[in-house]
Amino acid sequence: MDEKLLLISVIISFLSLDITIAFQVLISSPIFSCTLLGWLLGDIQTGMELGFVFQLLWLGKIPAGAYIVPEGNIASMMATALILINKEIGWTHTTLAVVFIEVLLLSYLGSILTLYYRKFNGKILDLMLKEVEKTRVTFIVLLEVASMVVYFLAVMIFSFLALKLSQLFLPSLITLLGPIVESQLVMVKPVIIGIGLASIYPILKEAFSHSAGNKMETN
Amino acid sequence: MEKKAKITRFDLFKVFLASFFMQAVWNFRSLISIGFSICFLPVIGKLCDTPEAKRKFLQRHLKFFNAHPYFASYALGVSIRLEEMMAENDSQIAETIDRFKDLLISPLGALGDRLFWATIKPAALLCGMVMIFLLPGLPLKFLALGITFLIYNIPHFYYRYRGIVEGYEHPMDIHRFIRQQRFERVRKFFFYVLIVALLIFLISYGYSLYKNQPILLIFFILSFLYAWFFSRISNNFYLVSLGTFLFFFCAAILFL
Repeated sequence: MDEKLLLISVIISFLSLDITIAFQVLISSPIFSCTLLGWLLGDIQTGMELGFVFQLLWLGKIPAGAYIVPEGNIASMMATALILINKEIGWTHTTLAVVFIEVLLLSYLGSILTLYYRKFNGKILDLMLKEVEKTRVTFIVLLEVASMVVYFLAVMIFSFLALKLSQLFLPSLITLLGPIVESQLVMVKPVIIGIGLASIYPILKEAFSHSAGNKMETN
Repeated sequence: MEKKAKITRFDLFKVFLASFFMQAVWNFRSLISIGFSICFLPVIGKLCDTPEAKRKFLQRHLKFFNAHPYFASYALGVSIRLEEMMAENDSQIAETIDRFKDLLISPLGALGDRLFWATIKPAALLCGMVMIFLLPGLPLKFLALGITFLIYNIPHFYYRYRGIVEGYEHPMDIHRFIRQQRFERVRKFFFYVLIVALLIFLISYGYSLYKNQPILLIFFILSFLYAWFFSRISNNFYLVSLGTFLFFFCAAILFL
Protein backbone atom coordinates (compact mmCIF):
# COMPACT_ATOMS: atom_id res chain seq x y z
CA MET A 1 0.00 0.00 0.00
CA ASP A 2 2.84 2.41 0.86
CA GLU A 3 4.31 2.00 -2.64
CA LYS A 4 0.95 2.82 -4.17
CA LEU A 5 0.54 5.92 -1.98
CA LEU A 6 4.07 7.00 -2.85
CA LEU A 7 3.38 6.61 -6.55
CA ILE A 8 0.17 8.64 -6.23
CA SER A 9 2.08 11.32 -4.30
CA VAL A 10 4.69 11.53 -7.07
CA ILE A 11 1.96 11.98 -9.69
CA ILE A 12 0.17 14.62 -7.58
CA SER A 13 3.47 16.41 -7.04
CA PHE A 14 4.29 16.33 -10.74
CA LEU A 15 0.87 17.66 -11.75
CA SER A 16 1.02 20.36 -9.08
CA LEU A 17 4.05 21.92 -10.79
CA ASP A 18 1.55 23.16 -13.37
CA ILE A 19 -0.27 25.31 -10.78
CA THR A 20 2.30 28.13 -10.80
CA ILE A 21 5.83 26.80 -11.23
CA ALA A 22 5.89 25.45 -14.76
CA PHE A 23 3.75 25.56 -17.91
CA GLN A 24 0.46 26.67 -16.32
CA VAL A 25 -1.54 24.92 -19.06
CA LEU A 26 -4.45 23.90 -16.80
CA ILE A 27 -3.60 20.20 -16.41
CA SER A 28 -3.52 20.65 -12.63
CA SER A 29 -7.19 21.68 -12.67
CA PRO A 30 -9.46 19.02 -11.14
CA ILE A 31 -11.29 18.09 -14.36
CA PHE A 32 -7.93 17.13 -15.89
CA SER A 33 -5.91 15.96 -12.92
CA CYS A 34 -8.67 13.94 -11.23
CA THR A 35 -9.46 12.24 -14.54
CA LEU A 36 -5.80 11.35 -14.95
CA LEU A 37 -5.65 9.96 -11.41
CA GLY A 38 -8.85 8.04 -12.06
CA TRP A 39 -7.25 6.51 -15.12
CA LEU A 40 -4.12 5.55 -13.18
CA LEU A 41 -6.16 4.07 -10.34
CA GLY A 42 -8.40 2.11 -12.69
CA ASP A 43 -11.63 4.13 -12.61
CA ILE A 44 -11.67 6.99 -15.12
CA GLN A 45 -15.42 7.53 -14.84
CA THR A 46 -15.28 8.23 -11.08
CA GLY A 47 -12.11 10.32 -11.47
CA MET A 48 -13.82 12.50 -14.07
CA GLU A 49 -16.96 12.78 -11.97
CA LEU A 50 -14.94 13.90 -8.94
CA GLY A 51 -13.07 16.44 -11.05
CA PHE A 52 -16.46 17.76 -12.12
CA VAL A 53 -17.66 18.01 -8.50
CA PHE A 54 -14.52 19.74 -7.16
CA GLN A 55 -13.75 22.01 -10.10
CA LEU A 56 -16.10 24.86 -9.26
CA LEU A 57 -14.94 25.13 -5.65
CA TRP A 58 -11.59 26.67 -6.54
CA LEU A 59 -12.48 28.57 -9.66
CA GLY A 60 -13.31 31.77 -7.81
CA LYS A 61 -9.91 31.95 -6.14
CA ILE A 62 -7.84 34.28 -8.29
CA PRO A 63 -4.07 34.20 -7.63
CA ALA A 64 -3.64 37.92 -8.33
CA GLY A 65 -0.45 39.54 -7.02
CA ALA A 66 0.90 38.03 -3.82
CA TYR A 67 -2.47 36.65 -2.71
CA ILE A 68 -2.17 33.00 -1.66
CA VAL A 69 -5.20 30.98 -2.63
CA PRO A 70 -6.33 27.64 -1.10
CA GLU A 71 -4.40 24.84 -2.79
CA GLY A 72 -7.56 23.33 -4.14
CA ASN A 73 -6.00 21.51 -7.05
CA ILE A 74 -3.64 19.50 -4.84
CA ALA A 75 -6.44 18.83 -2.33
CA SER A 76 -8.80 17.67 -5.10
CA MET A 77 -6.20 15.25 -6.42
CA MET A 78 -5.68 13.81 -2.93
CA ALA A 79 -9.44 13.54 -2.45
CA THR A 80 -9.82 11.64 -5.71
CA ALA A 81 -7.04 9.26 -4.73
CA LEU A 82 -8.61 8.65 -1.30
CA ILE A 83 -12.07 8.03 -2.72
CA LEU A 84 -10.76 5.62 -5.34
CA ILE A 85 -8.57 3.75 -2.88
CA ASN A 86 -11.51 3.32 -0.51
CA LYS A 87 -14.22 2.62 -3.06
CA GLU A 88 -14.32 -1.08 -2.11
CA ILE A 89 -15.77 -0.10 1.27
CA GLY A 90 -18.91 1.25 -0.39
CA TRP A 91 -20.95 4.08 1.23
CA THR A 92 -20.03 6.41 -1.63
CA HIS A 93 -21.91 9.48 -0.36
CA THR A 94 -20.42 9.13 3.12
CA THR A 95 -16.93 8.77 1.66
CA LEU A 96 -17.39 11.91 -0.45
CA ALA A 97 -18.73 13.87 2.54
CA VAL A 98 -15.84 12.91 4.83
CA VAL A 99 -13.30 13.52 2.09
CA PHE A 100 -14.87 16.91 1.29
CA ILE A 101 -14.25 18.08 4.85
CA GLU A 102 -10.71 16.75 4.56
CA VAL A 103 -10.30 18.58 1.23
CA LEU A 104 -10.95 21.91 2.95
CA LEU A 105 -8.31 21.15 5.56
CA LEU A 106 -5.82 19.93 2.96
CA SER A 107 -6.33 22.97 0.75
CA TYR A 108 -5.60 25.16 3.77
CA LEU A 109 -2.47 23.18 4.67
CA GLY A 110 -1.43 23.34 1.02
CA SER A 111 -1.67 27.13 1.08
CA ILE A 112 0.58 27.17 4.17
CA LEU A 113 3.05 24.99 2.28
CA THR A 114 3.01 27.48 -0.60
CA LEU A 115 3.56 30.34 1.83
CA TYR A 116 6.68 28.69 3.30
CA TYR A 117 7.91 27.68 -0.13
CA ARG A 118 7.71 31.30 -1.26
CA LYS A 119 9.57 32.39 1.87
CA PHE A 120 12.19 29.75 1.14
CA ASN A 121 12.56 31.21 -2.36
CA GLY A 122 13.72 34.42 -0.71
CA LYS A 123 16.85 32.47 0.32
CA ILE A 124 17.21 31.25 -3.26
CA LEU A 125 17.11 34.90 -4.36
CA ASP A 126 19.95 35.73 -1.94
CA LEU A 127 22.03 32.83 -3.28
CA MET A 128 21.26 33.88 -6.82
CA LEU A 129 22.39 37.45 -6.20
CA LYS A 130 25.67 36.08 -4.83
CA GLU A 131 26.14 33.93 -7.93
CA VAL A 132 25.35 36.89 -10.17
CA GLU A 133 28.17 38.80 -8.45
CA LYS A 134 30.47 36.02 -9.66
CA THR A 135 28.67 35.94 -13.07
CA ARG A 136 28.05 32.21 -12.76
CA VAL A 137 25.04 31.87 -15.04
CA THR A 138 24.95 28.05 -14.88
CA PHE A 139 24.54 28.21 -11.10
CA ILE A 140 21.55 30.52 -11.53
CA VAL A 141 19.80 27.88 -13.63
CA LEU A 142 20.78 25.21 -11.12
CA LEU A 143 19.31 27.27 -8.30
CA GLU A 144 16.05 27.61 -10.22
CA VAL A 145 15.95 23.85 -10.80
CA ALA A 146 16.80 23.27 -7.12
CA SER A 147 13.88 25.44 -6.06
CA MET A 148 11.54 23.47 -8.32
CA VAL A 149 12.87 20.17 -6.96
CA VAL A 150 12.28 21.42 -3.40
CA TYR A 151 8.66 22.24 -4.29
CA PHE A 152 8.22 18.87 -5.95
CA LEU A 153 9.58 17.05 -2.89
CA ALA A 154 7.62 19.20 -0.45
CA VAL A 155 4.31 18.48 -2.24
CA MET A 156 5.24 14.82 -2.55
CA ILE A 157 5.96 14.47 1.18
CA PHE A 158 2.86 16.48 2.04
CA SER A 159 0.69 14.31 -0.20
CA PHE A 160 2.19 11.07 1.05
CA LEU A 161 1.75 12.02 4.72
CA ALA A 162 -1.80 13.26 4.13
CA LEU A 163 -2.77 10.10 2.25
CA LYS A 164 -1.07 7.85 4.79
CA LEU A 165 -2.69 9.57 7.77
CA SER A 166 -6.07 9.58 6.04
CA GLN A 167 -5.82 5.87 5.41
CA LEU A 168 -5.38 5.33 9.15
CA PHE A 169 -8.81 6.74 10.04
CA LEU A 170 -10.83 7.04 6.84
CA PRO A 171 -11.83 3.37 6.30
CA SER A 172 -13.01 2.92 9.87
CA LEU A 173 -14.78 6.30 9.90
CA ILE A 174 -16.64 5.50 6.67
CA THR A 175 -17.60 2.06 7.97
CA LEU A 176 -18.84 3.65 11.18
CA LEU A 177 -20.78 6.55 9.64
CA GLY A 178 -21.95 4.87 6.44
CA PRO A 179 -24.80 2.78 7.85
CA ILE A 180 -26.09 5.77 9.87
CA VAL A 181 -26.00 8.69 7.42
CA GLU A 182 -25.55 7.30 3.90
CA SER A 183 -29.14 7.96 2.83
CA GLN A 184 -29.06 11.54 4.18
CA LEU A 185 -25.73 12.26 2.51
CA VAL A 186 -27.22 11.74 -0.92
CA MET A 187 -27.28 15.58 -0.93
CA VAL A 188 -23.47 15.84 -0.79
CA LYS A 189 -22.76 16.32 -4.52
CA PRO A 190 -25.43 18.96 -5.19
CA VAL A 191 -24.37 20.85 -2.06
CA ILE A 192 -20.65 20.82 -3.00
CA ILE A 193 -21.55 22.05 -6.50
CA GLY A 194 -23.85 24.68 -4.97
CA ILE A 195 -21.00 25.92 -2.74
CA GLY A 196 -18.70 25.95 -5.78
CA LEU A 197 -21.21 27.97 -7.75
CA ALA A 198 -21.40 30.54 -4.97
CA SER A 199 -17.60 30.74 -4.80
CA ILE A 200 -17.37 31.79 -8.47
CA TYR A 201 -19.58 34.81 -7.77
CA PRO A 202 -16.55 37.20 -7.47
CA ILE A 203 -15.31 36.29 -10.95
CA LEU A 204 -18.79 36.59 -12.43
CA LYS A 205 -19.08 40.01 -10.85
CA GLU A 206 -15.66 40.88 -12.24
CA ALA A 207 -16.56 39.61 -15.72
CA PHE A 208 -19.77 41.68 -15.65
CA SER A 209 -17.85 44.79 -14.64
CA HIS A 210 -16.85 46.54 -17.86
CA SER A 211 -15.34 49.65 -16.35
CA ALA A 212 -11.60 49.69 -16.95
CA GLY A 213 -9.24 50.23 -14.06
CA ASN A 214 -11.45 48.66 -11.42
CA LYS A 215 -9.39 46.82 -8.85
CA MET A 216 -10.00 43.13 -8.97
CA GLU A 217 -11.40 41.20 -6.03
CA THR A 218 -9.04 38.45 -5.09
CA ASN A 219 -11.09 36.57 -2.56
CA MET B 1 31.08 51.61 -31.81
CA GLU B 2 27.83 50.48 -33.50
CA LYS B 3 26.88 46.82 -33.63
CA LYS B 4 24.19 45.18 -35.73
CA ALA B 5 20.96 43.91 -34.22
CA LYS B 6 21.48 40.27 -33.34
CA ILE B 7 18.25 38.90 -31.93
CA THR B 8 16.41 36.59 -34.32
CA ARG B 9 12.86 35.23 -34.31
CA PHE B 10 14.29 31.89 -33.23
CA ASP B 11 15.92 33.59 -30.23
CA LEU B 12 12.55 35.07 -29.32
CA PHE B 13 11.02 31.60 -29.66
CA LYS B 14 13.60 30.25 -27.19
CA VAL B 15 12.64 33.07 -24.80
CA PHE B 16 8.99 32.07 -25.31
CA LEU B 17 9.83 28.50 -24.24
CA ALA B 18 11.73 29.76 -21.19
CA SER B 19 8.72 31.93 -20.28
CA PHE B 20 6.78 28.79 -19.30
CA PHE B 21 8.81 28.90 -16.08
CA MET B 22 8.04 32.56 -15.44
CA GLN B 23 6.63 31.95 -11.96
CA ALA B 24 9.23 29.45 -10.84
CA VAL B 25 11.05 30.71 -7.71
CA TRP B 26 8.23 33.19 -6.93
CA ASN B 27 9.23 34.98 -3.71
CA PHE B 28 7.87 37.77 -1.55
CA ARG B 29 10.82 40.14 -2.09
CA SER B 30 11.17 40.26 -5.85
CA LEU B 31 7.99 38.36 -6.85
CA ILE B 32 8.46 36.91 -10.36
CA SER B 33 11.81 38.59 -11.09
CA ILE B 34 13.86 35.35 -10.92
CA GLY B 35 11.73 33.54 -13.51
CA PHE B 36 11.65 36.74 -15.56
CA SER B 37 15.47 37.05 -15.50
CA ILE B 38 15.96 33.41 -16.43
CA CYS B 39 13.83 33.95 -19.56
CA PHE B 40 16.68 36.12 -20.87
CA LEU B 41 19.27 33.36 -20.67
CA PRO B 42 18.73 32.17 -24.28
CA VAL B 43 19.69 35.67 -25.49
CA ILE B 44 22.04 36.97 -22.80
CA GLY B 45 25.09 35.82 -24.73
CA LYS B 46 24.02 37.97 -27.67
CA LEU B 47 23.20 41.01 -25.57
CA CYS B 48 26.24 41.07 -23.32
CA ASP B 49 29.80 40.70 -24.51
CA THR B 50 31.61 40.73 -21.21
CA PRO B 51 31.07 39.03 -17.85
CA GLU B 52 30.72 42.50 -16.31
CA ALA B 53 27.89 43.35 -18.73
CA LYS B 54 26.19 40.03 -17.91
CA ARG B 55 26.47 40.74 -14.20
CA LYS B 56 24.90 44.18 -14.55
CA PHE B 57 22.22 42.77 -16.87
CA LEU B 58 21.14 40.11 -14.38
CA GLN B 59 21.30 42.49 -11.41
CA ARG B 60 19.05 44.88 -13.31
CA HIS B 61 16.41 42.23 -13.98
CA LEU B 62 16.57 40.48 -10.61
CA LYS B 63 15.10 43.60 -9.03
CA PHE B 64 11.42 43.59 -8.03
CA PHE B 65 9.08 42.80 -10.89
CA ASN B 66 5.56 41.47 -11.12
CA ALA B 67 2.97 40.95 -13.82
CA HIS B 68 0.50 38.35 -14.95
CA PRO B 69 2.65 35.33 -15.97
CA TYR B 70 1.35 35.28 -19.56
CA PHE B 71 1.33 39.04 -20.12
CA ALA B 72 4.81 39.48 -18.62
CA SER B 73 5.92 38.44 -22.12
CA TYR B 74 5.26 42.03 -23.27
CA ALA B 75 7.77 43.25 -20.68
CA LEU B 76 10.17 40.54 -21.83
CA GLY B 77 10.00 41.69 -25.47
CA VAL B 78 10.41 45.35 -24.51
CA SER B 79 13.36 44.58 -22.23
CA ILE B 80 15.11 42.47 -24.87
CA ARG B 81 14.82 45.25 -27.45
CA LEU B 82 15.95 47.96 -25.03
CA GLU B 83 18.87 45.83 -23.89
CA GLU B 84 19.73 45.24 -27.53
CA MET B 85 19.59 48.98 -28.24
CA MET B 86 21.88 49.55 -25.29
CA ALA B 87 24.31 46.93 -26.62
CA GLU B 88 24.19 48.40 -30.15
CA ASN B 89 24.78 52.01 -29.22
CA ASP B 90 26.78 51.52 -26.05
CA SER B 91 24.40 54.10 -24.59
CA GLN B 92 23.41 54.10 -20.96
CA ILE B 93 19.68 53.39 -21.03
CA ALA B 94 19.63 51.05 -18.06
CA GLU B 95 17.46 53.50 -16.11
CA THR B 96 14.99 53.62 -18.99
CA ILE B 97 14.65 49.83 -18.85
CA ASP B 98 13.95 49.98 -15.11
CA ARG B 99 11.41 52.75 -15.59
CA PHE B 100 9.68 50.95 -18.46
CA LYS B 101 9.37 47.76 -16.45
CA ASP B 102 7.99 49.64 -13.44
CA LEU B 103 5.40 51.28 -15.66
CA LEU B 104 4.34 47.94 -17.12
CA ILE B 105 3.71 46.19 -13.79
CA SER B 106 0.16 47.48 -13.20
CA PRO B 107 -1.29 47.33 -16.72
CA LEU B 108 0.12 43.88 -17.46
CA GLY B 109 -1.11 42.53 -14.12
CA ALA B 110 -4.59 44.02 -14.50
CA LEU B 111 -4.91 42.91 -18.13
CA GLY B 112 -3.88 39.32 -17.52
CA ASP B 113 -5.89 38.91 -14.33
CA ARG B 114 -9.00 40.29 -15.97
CA LEU B 115 -8.63 38.44 -19.25
CA PHE B 116 -7.30 35.07 -18.14
CA TRP B 117 -8.03 34.47 -14.47
CA ALA B 118 -11.45 36.17 -14.46
CA THR B 119 -12.72 35.31 -17.95
CA ILE B 120 -10.93 32.76 -20.14
CA LYS B 121 -10.07 30.27 -17.38
CA PRO B 122 -13.60 30.05 -15.90
CA ALA B 123 -15.12 30.07 -19.40
CA ALA B 124 -12.90 27.20 -20.59
CA LEU B 125 -13.41 25.12 -17.45
CA LEU B 126 -17.16 25.67 -17.37
CA CYS B 127 -17.34 24.64 -21.03
CA GLY B 128 -15.40 21.51 -20.09
CA MET B 129 -17.74 20.78 -17.20
CA VAL B 130 -20.83 21.22 -19.36
CA MET B 131 -19.45 18.98 -22.09
CA ILE B 132 -18.39 16.30 -19.59
CA PHE B 133 -21.84 16.42 -18.02
CA LEU B 134 -23.82 16.31 -21.25
CA LEU B 135 -21.78 14.12 -23.57
CA PRO B 136 -22.36 10.37 -23.32
CA GLY B 137 -19.54 7.81 -23.20
CA LEU B 138 -15.89 8.13 -22.25
CA PRO B 139 -14.45 8.82 -25.73
CA LEU B 140 -16.64 11.90 -26.12
CA LYS B 141 -15.84 13.04 -22.60
CA PHE B 142 -12.13 12.76 -23.43
CA LEU B 143 -12.76 14.79 -26.55
CA ALA B 144 -14.42 17.37 -24.29
CA LEU B 145 -11.28 17.54 -22.16
CA GLY B 146 -9.17 18.02 -25.31
CA ILE B 147 -11.43 20.86 -26.47
CA THR B 148 -11.26 22.47 -23.01
CA PHE B 149 -7.48 22.30 -23.13
CA LEU B 150 -7.47 24.02 -26.53
CA ILE B 151 -10.06 26.67 -25.60
CA TYR B 152 -7.75 27.79 -22.81
CA ASN B 153 -4.34 27.23 -24.29
CA ILE B 154 -4.78 28.68 -27.78
CA PRO B 155 -5.17 32.23 -26.39
CA HIS B 156 -2.63 31.40 -23.67
CA PHE B 157 0.14 30.41 -26.12
CA TYR B 158 -0.85 33.16 -28.54
CA TYR B 159 -0.52 36.00 -26.02
CA ARG B 160 2.63 34.58 -24.51
CA TYR B 161 4.35 34.55 -27.89
CA ARG B 162 2.65 37.64 -29.35
CA GLY B 163 3.65 39.63 -26.27
CA ILE B 164 7.34 38.90 -26.76
CA VAL B 165 7.21 39.76 -30.47
CA GLU B 166 5.14 42.94 -30.07
CA GLY B 167 7.20 44.07 -27.10
CA TYR B 168 10.37 43.50 -29.09
CA GLU B 169 9.10 45.23 -32.26
CA HIS B 170 7.45 48.22 -30.56
CA PRO B 171 9.28 48.89 -27.30
CA MET B 172 8.74 52.64 -27.25
CA ASP B 173 5.02 52.63 -28.01
CA ILE B 174 4.13 49.41 -26.21
CA HIS B 175 1.31 51.24 -24.42
CA ARG B 176 -0.65 51.12 -27.72
CA PHE B 177 -0.46 47.33 -27.68
CA ILE B 178 -1.48 46.73 -24.09
CA ARG B 179 -4.52 48.97 -23.95
CA GLN B 180 -7.53 47.40 -22.28
CA GLN B 181 -9.67 48.12 -25.38
CA ARG B 182 -7.40 46.02 -27.59
CA PHE B 183 -8.35 42.89 -25.66
CA GLU B 184 -11.98 43.83 -25.18
CA ARG B 185 -13.29 41.81 -28.11
CA VAL B 186 -11.55 38.65 -26.91
CA ARG B 187 -12.68 39.29 -23.35
CA LYS B 188 -16.28 39.84 -24.48
CA PHE B 189 -16.21 36.69 -26.58
CA PHE B 190 -15.07 34.57 -23.63
CA PHE B 191 -17.43 36.43 -21.34
CA TYR B 192 -20.38 35.34 -23.52
CA VAL B 193 -18.95 31.80 -23.64
CA LEU B 194 -18.80 31.89 -19.81
CA ILE B 195 -22.40 33.08 -19.48
CA VAL B 196 -23.77 30.58 -22.02
CA ALA B 197 -21.79 27.71 -20.43
CA LEU B 198 -23.02 28.71 -16.98
CA LEU B 199 -26.64 28.83 -18.13
CA ILE B 200 -26.41 25.47 -19.88
CA PHE B 201 -24.74 24.02 -16.80
CA LEU B 202 -27.43 25.34 -14.46
CA ILE B 203 -30.29 24.18 -16.66
CA SER B 204 -28.88 20.74 -17.46
CA TYR B 205 -27.60 19.96 -13.97
CA GLY B 206 -30.77 21.35 -12.38
CA TYR B 207 -32.95 19.33 -14.72
CA SER B 208 -31.04 16.11 -14.05
CA LEU B 209 -31.48 16.62 -10.31
CA TYR B 210 -35.17 17.39 -10.78
CA LYS B 211 -35.66 14.28 -12.88
CA ASN B 212 -33.92 11.94 -10.42
CA GLN B 213 -34.75 13.38 -7.00
CA PRO B 214 -36.50 16.79 -6.93
CA ILE B 215 -35.50 17.39 -3.30
CA LEU B 216 -31.85 17.44 -4.39
CA LEU B 217 -32.61 20.34 -6.72
CA ILE B 218 -33.88 22.25 -3.69
CA PHE B 219 -30.70 21.37 -1.79
CA PHE B 220 -28.60 22.52 -4.75
CA ILE B 221 -30.36 25.88 -5.12
CA LEU B 222 -30.51 26.56 -1.39
CA SER B 223 -26.86 25.60 -0.79
CA PHE B 224 -25.83 28.01 -3.55
CA LEU B 225 -27.93 30.84 -2.06
CA TYR B 226 -26.79 30.07 1.48
CA ALA B 227 -23.09 29.97 0.51
CA TRP B 228 -23.46 33.13 -1.57
CA PHE B 229 -25.16 34.97 1.30
CA PHE B 230 -22.61 33.60 3.81
CA SER B 231 -19.72 34.77 1.58
CA ARG B 232 -21.21 38.29 1.63
CA ILE B 233 -20.81 38.25 5.43
CA SER B 234 -17.48 36.42 5.67
CA ASN B 235 -14.56 36.41 3.26
CA ASN B 236 -13.26 33.20 4.80
CA PHE B 237 -13.64 30.52 2.12
CA TYR B 238 -13.11 27.64 4.56
CA LEU B 239 -15.69 28.93 7.01
CA VAL B 240 -18.25 29.52 4.25
CA SER B 241 -17.73 26.09 2.68
CA LEU B 242 -17.68 24.14 5.93
CA GLY B 243 -20.52 26.19 7.46
CA THR B 244 -22.74 25.65 4.41
CA PHE B 245 -21.95 21.97 4.25
CA LEU B 246 -22.70 21.35 7.94
CA PHE B 247 -25.89 23.39 7.76
CA PHE B 248 -27.20 21.29 4.87
CA PHE B 249 -26.04 18.09 6.51
CA CYS B 250 -28.25 18.99 9.48
CA ALA B 251 -31.06 19.86 7.06
CA ALA B 252 -30.61 16.48 5.36
CA ILE B 253 -30.88 14.66 8.68
CA LEU B 254 -34.16 16.48 9.30
CA PHE B 255 -35.72 16.25 5.84
CA LEU B 256 -34.22 13.29 4.00
